Amino acid sequence: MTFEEFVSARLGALIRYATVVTWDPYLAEDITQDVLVRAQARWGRIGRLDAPEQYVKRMVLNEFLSWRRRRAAHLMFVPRETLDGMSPHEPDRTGAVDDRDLTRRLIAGLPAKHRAAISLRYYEDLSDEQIAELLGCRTGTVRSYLSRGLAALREALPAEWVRT
Amino acid sequence: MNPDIDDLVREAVRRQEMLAVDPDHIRAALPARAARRRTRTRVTLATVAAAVAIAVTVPIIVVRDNGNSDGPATSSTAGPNQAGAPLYYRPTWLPAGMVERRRSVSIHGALEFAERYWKRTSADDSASGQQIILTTKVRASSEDPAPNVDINGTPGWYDDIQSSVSWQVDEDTKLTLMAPELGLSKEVLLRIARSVKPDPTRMRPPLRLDWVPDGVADQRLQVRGDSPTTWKATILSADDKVHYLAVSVGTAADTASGETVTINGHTAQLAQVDEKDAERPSYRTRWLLTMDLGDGRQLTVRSGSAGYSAASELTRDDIIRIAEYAQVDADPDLAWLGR
Repeated sequence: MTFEEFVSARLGALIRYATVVTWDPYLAEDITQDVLVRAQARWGRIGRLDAPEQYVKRMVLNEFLSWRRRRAAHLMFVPRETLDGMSPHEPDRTGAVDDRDLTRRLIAGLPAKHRAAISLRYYEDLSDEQIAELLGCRTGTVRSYLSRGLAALREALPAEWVRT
Repeated sequence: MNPDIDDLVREAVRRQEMLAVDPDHIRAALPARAARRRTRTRVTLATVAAAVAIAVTVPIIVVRDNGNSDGPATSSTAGPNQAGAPLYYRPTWLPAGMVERRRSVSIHGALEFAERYWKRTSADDSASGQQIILTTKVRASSEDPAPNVDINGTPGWYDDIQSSVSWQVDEDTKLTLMAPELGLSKEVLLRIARSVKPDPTRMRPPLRLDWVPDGVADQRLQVRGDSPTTWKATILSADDKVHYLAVSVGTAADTASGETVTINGHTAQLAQVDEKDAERPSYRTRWLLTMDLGDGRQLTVRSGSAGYSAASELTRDDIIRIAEYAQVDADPDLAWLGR
């Protein structure tokens, strides 16, 4: 598979994955572009892998986690109106705040690795072991991320929303 | 029965997935991104002393005042041509009360598209996503799964989670109709989709950018409002997420508290700002210029850059020059707003 074939076939899935892992569509776009440029330069090797898509997804995850480290002390913001227009074809839903969106917004407030673990479990359906391998930590740590993340959500959500 | 936490998280993940930007947008930006990376690499290897000053091209858009065309010899025109921007398609049936509030079109970009928005509420009601969106993308091919609906004899793909339907209306053109927050039934959404017809209308831009230096890629012109007397048009240019520049004209009133300058006989306020928004940690706004054009209209120039960029930003003189070269339509075609 050439790089162009990969992008043609899998870019949609890749950007959706990045959007869930980063929990920020704009950051996902930025990271996906960066990763694809780097992957293109090394496609000779990546393209020969059994699962190039999994490799590129791992690049996205690594870039996100390293980006968080680089950026942690340096967050900057922009008016929502401006960013509304930055992304062609995205429906104007950035300001939509309703009850159905509460869980999504609460997840956005979780620590990055908790959120990444939740994304990998609920979006990719990965096991604790697979998540641990991707995050570079022990299985017990993944269980802790998931457990603490879900506990935080349970605590923050209205009690009548969640079946116990 | 209440859902358990697993169900709620899965639903949240699905909603997050829906926010993904269009893959075509990323695909179109890849060559510029790769070129930028090559440039950076060369600069790094050569250990150029002034690397910070030259590693990233600063986007500057110069907007010409109405009528005069004596701009710099190296300038180029940005924005739809005099014939206006094509809108391609429109639905000929919509649920009662839905009126057009917003249009967005590509200008000078690798990706050609038009988006049209219909709402029951005000265009500025940003808290409401209750709208119908028709997106036309040119030179776009479908990446959708196997078709599951028929749109006037053309295979289409209906997604009940997004409340959307997309179909390849011809070899080069993909249409997507979305109504994610309206709660429309599948039947109603398909009825709208099947009513979509070609629309020869072209949107004449209320604002034009007459000169753009090399390296600036304009992205879109957006016009939004409730009526021909309450509107705003913006040309937005983003330099690969490193810089952005937004030039607007309309009836909305921004206020910059800062230096008073005179531009083409108009009084303007220019301020260095540090605007923040809790939603998106991507850019910071550094410059805001507001200029009263008379007749209840205002020109606004905003610029900023990503927080992680070490590149230089636009200067005071750049911002003033941008406003100086603005070309504003004295009689904009806005009759479609609110219809």
